[in-house]
Amino acid sequence: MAVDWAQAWQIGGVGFGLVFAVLIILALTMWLTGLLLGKLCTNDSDSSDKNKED
Amino acid sequence: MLDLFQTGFAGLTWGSVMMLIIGGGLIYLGIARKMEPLLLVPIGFAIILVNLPFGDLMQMVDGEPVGFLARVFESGITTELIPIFIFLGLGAMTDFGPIIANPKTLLLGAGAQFGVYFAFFVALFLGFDISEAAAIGIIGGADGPTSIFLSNKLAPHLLGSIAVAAYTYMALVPIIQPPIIKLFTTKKEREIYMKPQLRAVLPAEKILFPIVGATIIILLVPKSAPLIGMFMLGNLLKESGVTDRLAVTSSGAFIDVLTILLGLAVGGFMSADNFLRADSLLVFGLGIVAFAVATAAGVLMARLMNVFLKEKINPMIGAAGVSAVPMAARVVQKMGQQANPRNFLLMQAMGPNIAGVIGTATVAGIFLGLLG
Repeated sequence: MAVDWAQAWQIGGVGFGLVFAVLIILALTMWLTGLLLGKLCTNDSDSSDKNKED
Repeated sequence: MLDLFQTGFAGLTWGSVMMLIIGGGLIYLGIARKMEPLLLVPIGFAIILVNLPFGDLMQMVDGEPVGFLARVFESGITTELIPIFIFLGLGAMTDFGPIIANPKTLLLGAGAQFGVYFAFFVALFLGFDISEAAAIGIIGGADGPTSIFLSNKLAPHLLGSIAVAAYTYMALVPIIQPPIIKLFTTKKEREIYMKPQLRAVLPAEKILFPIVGATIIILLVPKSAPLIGMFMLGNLLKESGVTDRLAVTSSGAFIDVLTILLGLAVGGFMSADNFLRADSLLVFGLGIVAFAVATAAGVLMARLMNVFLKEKINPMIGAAGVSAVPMAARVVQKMGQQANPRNFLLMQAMGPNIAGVIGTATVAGIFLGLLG
């Protein structure tokens, strides 16, 4: 059976690009989540230090 | 009298003898060489069982499984339950800490998927159709359950050879990868020092990652839902702190039962008629091409990232972007120590290693979305 090379290139190109897109989005989301949670934790520890001082 | 009692000797063919030798060979690799023994031993033994004549272990009558191994195959592989549930166990065994601490290593897992697509095109060029080529290409992801999952959907007649190729090459990681890593890196690059201590990951991050990760990936690639969903659920069971019993079972007895059934089903599929064909040999050949190119692509991805990074990464960790966890990471650790005794790259390499699992499952979902 003859190969539909146009379809094959579409699958290859779209597929490989999509993997990168998915993992880049995931990486950015995790980085932002880490940043936010880190800031929240810092704020929590600052306010509990302040309460201890009071 | 002897006609009524037909021994197996009457049914032996050169093909079945060859398969008995192959089955014995896999058992040897598993026991003597300790190469993926948990899979190769049951697969090898099941190959022997199914190729001893007149046992009818894979007998089907009117499309219904009658033989014992046929029932295991139909219930576990055709339904895809076994490979999907194995991912639950894998998730419960995996620590996502390295990847959360250093999210850019996800790109290395993505880069390594180039091997899958390279093999896809070579398979097409060699005469396989698009669905077969996709099933063969996924061997480059070095992920056994994903290979079985995808080949069952897209090319079930190649399932046996794809599964054995995937697990055999996973076991051969310590042999295949080092020369390729050396070929694509300089001595100076192999000596690049990376701080062993990754940043501390908060418990909340470890709980959020599987939930957020599953949501994002499945929204973008819906057909990845079974594999990614179970992988992330397994990890959530591990990290939640309140489902330890489920995590212990998933990563222990449950996955062990599934591994036995998987080995039996895959080995049972490999009768001489199913396996001793020209396309099986091509699958093995393409499998190693996929694997080798995936390793090279991961290393080259790391070298490309170094062009933009202030703090350079050791490009060898890119080779861990193939999802043979944790063998690929251990290979990088060993080579890292040889190049620079100060280097301890294991945790750094685990990030891309786990990213490779996620990447390969995502690629399988993409292939299914486009071809399934």
